[in-house]
Amino acid sequence: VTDQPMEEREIPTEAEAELAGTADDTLQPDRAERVRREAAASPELKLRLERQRCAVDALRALDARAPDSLREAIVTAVADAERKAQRRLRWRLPAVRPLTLASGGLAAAAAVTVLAVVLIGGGSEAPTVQQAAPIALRAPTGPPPRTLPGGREIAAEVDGIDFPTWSWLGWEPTGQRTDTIEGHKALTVFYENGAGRQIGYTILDGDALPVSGGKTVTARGERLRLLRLGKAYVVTWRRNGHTCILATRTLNPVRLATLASWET
Amino acid sequence: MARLDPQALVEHLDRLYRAAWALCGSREEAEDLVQETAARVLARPRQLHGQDELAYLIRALRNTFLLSRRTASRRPQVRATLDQVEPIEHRPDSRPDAVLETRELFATIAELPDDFRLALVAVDVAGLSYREAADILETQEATIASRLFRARDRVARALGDESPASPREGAGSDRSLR
Repeated sequence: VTDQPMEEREIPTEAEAELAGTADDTLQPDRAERVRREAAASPELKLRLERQRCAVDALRALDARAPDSLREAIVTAVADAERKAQRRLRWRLPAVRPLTLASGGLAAAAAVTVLAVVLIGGGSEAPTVQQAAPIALRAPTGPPPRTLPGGREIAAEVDGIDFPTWSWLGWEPTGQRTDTIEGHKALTVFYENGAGRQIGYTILDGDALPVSGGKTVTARGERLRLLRLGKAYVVTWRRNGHTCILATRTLNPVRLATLASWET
Repeated sequence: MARLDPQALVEHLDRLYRAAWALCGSREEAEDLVQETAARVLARPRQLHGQDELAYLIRALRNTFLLSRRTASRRPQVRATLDQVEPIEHRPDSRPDAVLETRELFATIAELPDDFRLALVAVDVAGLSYREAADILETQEATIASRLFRARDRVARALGDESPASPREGAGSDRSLR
């Protein structure tokens, strides 16, 4: 054994575990301190501990992120699975017959209410963003804003937050409307793409509205809130302290979230 | 009993991808492995059985990896030439040398013996605790620690860094191991 290079010698399994735990700070402090003292007194142990630390540092520094294509595929697969789960839930709901309603109408009504809340997103009360979101699904009342020089923005903004053209993504503004909801002015710009899909983008002035329920989704690394509103999808996020809402009845939630991610 | 929230796949996607890359040694295979794992996980509702969501997903990833490798071993092997290897990743925030270092590190991990690699991926790449890794790999915590030691030792040697380790500060200390 003494003829081997010192770093090639075998050491007890327990010593290996202690060195590993010392390197990644998972060993109890008093034991780790003892290991460090022993390593300081032994060139062989010192070398082994340094190797452990070198590897831990390199491995902890790994920050490779999933490519956008993979992220989009997973978001799509998850959204599909959730839609299927919702369909299964509807299918399993027992039919409510008149006799049932007559004898236990209150319980049946409560069950239907619970189911409706679950399908919408699990919130216990209607969130304010959900009250504002239908605005983005209404019809435009005015012509589309004109495109500003440079082609990336249009002449529409709320408290300094500009609306995009999204022409470079294949979407063109088709109209706009202005509403007021509980004291918040809401400007909505409507867009349409070449396939005839339509979306509404609403920005509200004043403080951001609270939102509950729905799901947090990630698109292009940006975290957004995805809600269901009947057959419509709604994505909401905050920008400069304001609530932004993107809603559609004709686009899948992945595409909607991806579009929104360019505006976060 | 708690069920796995499908959104956990999205939430932990980056860790799953890194773990898959470390298992497979190539980005393309890693993407396929993550997608295959997601498809299997999403095929039906999943019970967590007391596990953390990430631990559940890493177990699923490992099982899918072992299954796909067994299947692949029965197919004729096709070796990629250098020309077919993926181009340098074009992310605005990635330096070419950092990309190469990352690839080198993943390739080094992928060359480790299975037991060492699985322990290293579970703890150092995915960020599971020793206990969670032991549970997934159906062994003892002490065995995980020993395998980790040997895996890291080989990684450090392969990286050619026999000099004293770099200072530990600022090396991803925001990710706890336990």
